[in-house]
Amino acid sequence: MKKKLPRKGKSQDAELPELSPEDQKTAEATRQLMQHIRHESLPVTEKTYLWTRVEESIQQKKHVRLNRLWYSVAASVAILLLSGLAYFSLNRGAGTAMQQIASAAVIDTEVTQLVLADRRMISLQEQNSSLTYGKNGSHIRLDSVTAIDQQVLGQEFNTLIVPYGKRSVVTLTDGTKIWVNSGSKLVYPAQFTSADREVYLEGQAYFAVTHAEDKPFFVHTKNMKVQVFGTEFDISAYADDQLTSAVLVNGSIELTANQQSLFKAQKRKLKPGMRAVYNPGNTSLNVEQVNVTEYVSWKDGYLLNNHAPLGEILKKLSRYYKVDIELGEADSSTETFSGSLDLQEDITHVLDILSAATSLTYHQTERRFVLRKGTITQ
Amino acid sequence: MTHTLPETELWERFVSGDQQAFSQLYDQFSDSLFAFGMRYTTDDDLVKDCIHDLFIDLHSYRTGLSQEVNVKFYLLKSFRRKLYAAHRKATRLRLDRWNADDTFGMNAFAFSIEQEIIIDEGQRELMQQLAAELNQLPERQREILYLRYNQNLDYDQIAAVMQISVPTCRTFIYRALKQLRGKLEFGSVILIFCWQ
Repeated sequence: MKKKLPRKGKSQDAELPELSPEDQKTAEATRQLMQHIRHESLPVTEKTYLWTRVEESIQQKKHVRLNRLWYSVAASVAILLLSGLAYFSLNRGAGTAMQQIASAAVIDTEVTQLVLADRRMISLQEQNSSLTYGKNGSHIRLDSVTAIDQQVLGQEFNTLIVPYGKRSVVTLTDGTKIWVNSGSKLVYPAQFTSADREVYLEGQAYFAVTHAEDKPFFVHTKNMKVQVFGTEFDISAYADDQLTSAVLVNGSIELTANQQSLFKAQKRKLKPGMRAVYNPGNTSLNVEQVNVTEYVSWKDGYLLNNHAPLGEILKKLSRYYKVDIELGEADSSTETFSGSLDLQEDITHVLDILSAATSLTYHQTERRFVLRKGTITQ
Repeated sequence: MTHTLPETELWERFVSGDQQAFSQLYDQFSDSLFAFGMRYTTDDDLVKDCIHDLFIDLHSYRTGLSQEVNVKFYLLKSFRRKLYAAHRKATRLRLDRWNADDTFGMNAFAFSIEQEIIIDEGQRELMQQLAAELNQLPERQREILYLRYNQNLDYDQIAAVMQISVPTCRTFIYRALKQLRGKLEFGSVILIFCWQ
């Protein structure tokens, strides 16, 4: 019986010496009773959502300037269309509008961000985040714990910005699933209202497109357009890569280079297992048969290499882990590596494996790694 | 998840610009702030809005914030001010101003003494009586007892939170306790402590 009313060690009301012993006791009883106040609790989902709101507001403050730019871009696009000067087809128009949006979006944050049609910014904390759009695009489930709503009237675009070190999986209204790799931007309509389904990509993504006979799916990139006929494929179109490439896993896609010579359009249909590489420098489109797993394994969390140039692998790793990796000697970049690298592992672990296989050693200073030949730099 | 830092260290890291510390600060305090806010109003959206505004302010003004503060006290104080401002704004907007109850104070408490294993019937009865009397007190007195005995703030802190002077604060507590004791049967209060 003693346990419910623990003896007070020293009176916590020493500050009120004028209290009579009876009042002291009342105070003590009050204290005990006050420990049993029933408090309203904040449900976890609401707590998470509230935090998203806080982050959003902070981002909005930061991005006021960016938003202004955004308005002017949107305005100039609108003027361009209204003035009838738009000579490109509607298809081309949507692609251009989305490209404008993508180039206005800046990857300068640590977290993945979703920009809604009303320019609200939602931050996604997870390393590998996921977004699922409801039927008409107005309801979006985030990381399967929170949900947000946006007003969707017509063809409003959403933008997903995935910084280096993060990945994201989006499921669009039509059921199409897109794995977006580190350092990429994806622009897409919240719902597909027009005749074609069109998205814009800068960076790398793996697409599993839901088949719809009457609604062809297009992926626009800076230098190349891909028409999809319900299929799975990977596109790599990083701004800092000279080449744009597409790898087809199954189904069928058709590529069109944006930079068209006046008389012949660069068009090419791909068959499963093929990789197309477009070089805007000399407007060449080369197609080769490849082992597709090497190009799409990143979405499953590993990197499969088959005599892959070391320079290429390191570029991928530095994007994936958001670290600087430098090759000490230029000629080492011609070295190749074969084998599987587990991307769930720590970067140092991955580099350990790489160096063991290539007789290179690496030296780390914070987020920066330098690989050198042979000599031990420890 | 990262481990939980002590409040003071967390605060120092937040003030010096650590984004992660800011999110941890939210993780650690949003629940208790919500519970605290719901003591004053039944409008949970209003409480959430105030938490939102509080954290936005903290983020915007962090460079000017002092490194050394009692984190919980500082947050309660700022948060109550936000709640009070929101409350005033809401009542000012109401059309029937003359009817509107524009005092800002603490709601009656709900206790969960039943869940506690209080074996003695008399003791439970007494606790219930005390609970009822506590809820009869004026809102300000109830609030002050809450800050003192639930939040464990000292008199200086309570005075700052409620924006009253320290002597007023003492008087309030003194009076509240006197009143409670007067209402309760003198003997029964003694009774509780006979069990110790």
